[in-house]
Formats: sequence, structure tokens, C-alpha cells
Amino acid sequence: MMNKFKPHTIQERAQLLGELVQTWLSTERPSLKNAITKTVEQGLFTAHDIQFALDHIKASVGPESLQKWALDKKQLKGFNPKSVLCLHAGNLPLVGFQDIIATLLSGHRYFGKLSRKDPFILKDFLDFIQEDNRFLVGKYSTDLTDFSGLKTDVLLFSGSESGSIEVENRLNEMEVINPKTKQLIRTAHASVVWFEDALGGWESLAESIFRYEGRGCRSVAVIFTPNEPEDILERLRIEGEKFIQINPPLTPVSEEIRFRFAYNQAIERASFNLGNMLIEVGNPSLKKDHVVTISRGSMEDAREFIKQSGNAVQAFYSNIEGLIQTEPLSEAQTPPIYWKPDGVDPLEFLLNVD
Amino acid sequence: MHPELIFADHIPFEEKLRAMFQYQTENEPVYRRFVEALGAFDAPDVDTIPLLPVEAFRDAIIGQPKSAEIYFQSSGTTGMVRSTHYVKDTAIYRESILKGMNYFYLLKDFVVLGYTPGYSENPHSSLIWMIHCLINADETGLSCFLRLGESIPLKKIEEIQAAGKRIMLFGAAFGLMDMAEQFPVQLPEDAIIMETGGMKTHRREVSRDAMHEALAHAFGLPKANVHSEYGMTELLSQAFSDGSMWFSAPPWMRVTIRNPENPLQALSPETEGLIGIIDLANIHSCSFLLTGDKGICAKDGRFQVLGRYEPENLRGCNFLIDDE
Repeated sequence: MMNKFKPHTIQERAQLLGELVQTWLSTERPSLKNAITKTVEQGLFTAHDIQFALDHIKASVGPESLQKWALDKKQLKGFNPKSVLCLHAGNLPLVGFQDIIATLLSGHRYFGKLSRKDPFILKDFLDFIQEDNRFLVGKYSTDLTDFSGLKTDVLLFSGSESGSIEVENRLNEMEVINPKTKQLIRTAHASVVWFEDALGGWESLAESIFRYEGRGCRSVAVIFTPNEPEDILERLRIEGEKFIQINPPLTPVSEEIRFRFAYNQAIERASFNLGNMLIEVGNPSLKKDHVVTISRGSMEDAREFIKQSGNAVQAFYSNIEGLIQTEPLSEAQTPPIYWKPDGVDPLEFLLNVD
Repeated sequence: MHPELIFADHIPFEEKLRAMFQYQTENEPVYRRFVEALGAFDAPDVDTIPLLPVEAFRDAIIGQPKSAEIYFQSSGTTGMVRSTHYVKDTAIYRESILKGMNYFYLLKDFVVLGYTPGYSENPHSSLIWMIHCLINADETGLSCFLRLGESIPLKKIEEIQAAGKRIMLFGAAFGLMDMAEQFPVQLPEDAIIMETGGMKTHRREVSRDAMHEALAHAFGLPKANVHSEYGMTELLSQAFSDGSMWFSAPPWMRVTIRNPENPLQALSPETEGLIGIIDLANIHSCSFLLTGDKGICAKDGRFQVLGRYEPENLRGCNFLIDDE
């Protein structure tokens, strides 16, 4: 049997891992098909959201993009692989895929607490990588108790600020972490866009709001516009209806949203309810799940809102091409693999863990 | 619905509630639109009736401004949009205040001392209007607003004692706390301190229990003599607690605890949720209100106020230890 090439540098790992990701997605692997089918059948995610996520990985994670990410990055002298535990939230299909890739690229050993809401597809990828046997992959499971006593060197996860404390306390009790564990915790909730009607990008706006039923931290929750908010609302309703027709939501409208919509009707606040989302004209707010606000405001107003929101805002988009300090709206749900959640490059973070 | 029915003892509450619901869905456009949008016209009861969020008094016009005798506004800083309650008939508010107080206290035994800004400087504060009303109702003439930033005059305390009356010291929590710190004074042992909430101050935030402890200590009273009033600009009735943390409402006011994720659903006793209030005295505005306060109910209808309801923001990628 021929010995497989084993990567030693981060650049070699980038090349190989990029190829493996493409192979995982290119071949007609029955196990992947089976994982998708089970996810859909169990009502965990819609087929279109899963396909969207996989298509995006296929388009954005390959040798070239990973080489770009790895460019100019080096391992510390005397590198010694550490255990990295990733806690995967289950709000979107394949959430935390970037953390897996960053861990494998860094040369550390990946451990994964998979979400019970997304237990099949990430597992299939990890099975594939483990089978290949050229990257360090430890245990991955949906059961947190499987990691009791791990005392992991590094912990990566996303959560609310108060929820993070609860997570840390529980992990300490179970000795999954210890006081020496280095942690990268992301707390951003949602994203903001500055959108001007004349510049177009309506499809991207609808995608940024309605994709994944608005559950991603890159999903737009607040729209600032120099136009009449009611005009933006009406046009968004049309674009949203088109989107929902092709991508029907999995979950029905909640009673909370139905109640808020009725309140809006009562006070004659312009709004519409589409799928399980409520879009309304009003003061910007990130606090209500599944509610998107449209406010009249300048770019400066948007920036001030983001500043006041502290760590809650993940991304600031605009439909102005190439505007500095904003991300393109068209990349809201399709960021490059090297994007920085909460402004931190996870690969950079992992490479600097001593 | 005739206003006299609000306080009528011989009519069951549920019957009055249904009559009020019909009256307000016919006469209050904001509430009508709310009920229409919810499709909730079926004969309601205390636990199922749609409760309009109190922010509606800020976000829309509730009641009839043109025919209002007075309007009350919530406190707030400059530039803040305030809630406005247009009161068509102040006689109903007066009756609710006096009947409500007499339901829990023998008002004729008390002299009310208000430690708040005076009525003339704040004619649109429902709390100050209430204290003003109580002061005017005192036939001895001893009830009054106290001067802010000064101690309670000892002479005043002696006069009240000489008249065989008890003191009820009324004030917002932050004002009373300032008074306690700057001008502590021994009050007669049968005096009652009535704090009206508002524990968040520009200087500190304290729990209601700690505040009661501090007030009792400063005025030389047992903690049981520190009572609380629960009211708001949007209500014309008040609930009171008698030194415990449990509030009781007068017969024309009912409290239910609603599910924050589905406010059309009442929660069972001892389950935390949003405080919902039915106040029949709000006949000319809206009687069915959902507050932004967190609370729990006991089986006997008493309730506790546990602060503002601040839901955790769970939007986005969020690892939850028990869900994932």
C-alpha cells in the first residue's frame, strides 16, 4: 500500500484540506446523501438551506481559498498540537464548519460537541477526514458527557454573554475545561445593513434576511436607509415573497410574532409578516428574534447604532460596491472561509495558542 | 358600559369584563384593531382576553384627547417619547383612588404626607395627582406635600399624633431613599411608608427588599410598616402590598401572568412571566393591558413584581448548554 503524503506545514495542510473538502462534496458519497436525507426527514433543516450551505462550501473552500487564508501564517516555534474543543450551535446547517477547518489547518487536534439539531452532516465530513487519517481528529459527539475530563487546551464557541457563563460553569464542573483552557467565545447576534434603493441588490437583501429563517449571526436584523422606510418595506415584501416561494420556511410563525404583528396593526405601524419573520418600520433593535426593523438613517446613524450595540453586531453590510468598513451585502450568507467572526480570525487565534 | 358598573359590587367581575370588552372593541380603535388582527373576538375571560402592550400609550393615541379632562404622562428624559394617558373623566380616577385605598386601609385614620414634587409643578404625573387627591380628601387638613430636600418637621409629626391620626408617608422609591439617607427621623410606630416603585436611580439600583430594609431602619419602623404601591401612568387603579412582597388588587382590577412567548396564554400560579392587568377603571382608554414587568401570581390572585422583563437575546449562533 502506497504511503499517503502527510502535510507538515500550514500551507501543505491548506492544499490537502482544500482538496479533501472538494472530494467530500464532489463524489456521490452515499453517506453524505444519507446524512442530508436524515436531517431533512427529522425536520431539522430544510433541503434548500442544506443545499445552500453545501453549495457555498463547495464554492468557497478549496486549495486556493485555504492557501489564501494560510498566506503569511506560521506556526509557533516548537509547535506542539493542542486539543481544541468546538461547541457547535445548531441554528444553521453546518454551523461551525469554519472552526473545524481552522483547527485542522492549525495542526491542532479537533474535538467537536456536535449539535443535536445538526448531528449528521458535520459528522459525515469528520468521518471522511478521520478515515483519510492525515489530520488530527479526536472525539466528536452530540453528547457533552463524552468530553468529561477532557481538560481541553482550547475551547471555541458562540453564545450570548450570560449563556456563556452558564456554559463555562458546566464545562468546568465536568472538567471539560480547566482554568488553563484558552477560550475564543463569540457573542455577536445579528447584522446591520445600510441600503439605498437606487443602488439595487434587492435579491441579496431578501437573501440576507430570509435565508435560514433569519437565524444566523450574519443575518440582517436592522436596515438603515436614506429612503422612505415604508417604500423599502413594500419592495422587500415583494422580494421576500419571491424568496419564500422558492425557499419555504421550516417553522411556522410563532405566537410571539403573531402577537407583535397584531400590535403593529393596532398602532398602525407599517409591517408585514412573511414566513416566521416580521419586518417592521421602526426604531432599530437587535433584541427580538425573527424581527427585522427598517429605519430611516444615514450611514453615520448606522455606525452609531453599531457602536452603541457593543458586541451584538456581527457584520455591517452595504449595497454600495467597495465601500470601506462595510462588507458587500451579497456576501451576507456567503462569506469567504477566512471571514472573521466577531472580528477575530480563528486560524490566527489557534496558531498563537502556546 | 356605564361607568357606575366599574365599582358595582353586585355584578360578577367576569360579567363586567365581557361588557367592557364589548364596549372597548366598539369604541377604542387601537384596541379594536388589535383584537381584529388577533382574530380574538370570542367571549373572553380573565385568562384569555387579549392584553394590549402598555407601549401603545406611547406608540399611539389611546382614548379621546379632545374630550379629555386631563392627561397624564410617564416620566422620562428630554427627547424621550413618553406615554400619554388621556383621562376623560377624572371623577372615575378619584373614585378608584379613594375606593382602592379604603379597600386596603382605613383612610380616615391617616394623614398623607407626599414626598414628591408638588402638584402644581407636575400636573401630568398620575402619581402626584393621586397623592394630591388623597391630600384633598383629608378633612383634617393635615395632609400635605412635604418640601423636598428637607426633613419631616417634628411639629408636623406632633400635630398628627395629637389629632389621633397615623402617618402615611408616600413617595417614589428613589426619593424616599434620598430622604432616608439625608433626613432620617423617628416616625410614630403606627406610621406607614408607602413606596411607589421606581427603584432605578441615577446613583444605584437596589432590590425592593433591601430598600424596605433601609427605609424601615431610617424611620425607626418595623419592616412590615413599609408598604408598596403598584401603579403606572397607563392605569387608573393601583395594587398594594402590606409589607410583604405580595401585591393585592382592588375588586375592579385583576392581574394575570402571561407567557412572554405567547401573551394570549395565562401561566399557572408561581410561574414567572409578564404581568397582565385588567383595570376596569380605564373605561375610556383601554382596560386590558400587558406590562413589561416580570412577575408571578399566587393561587389567591396576589402577585409579586420581579423587575423588568428583559428577555435573553438568543438570536444568532448561540450554544445553549441544555438545547444543543
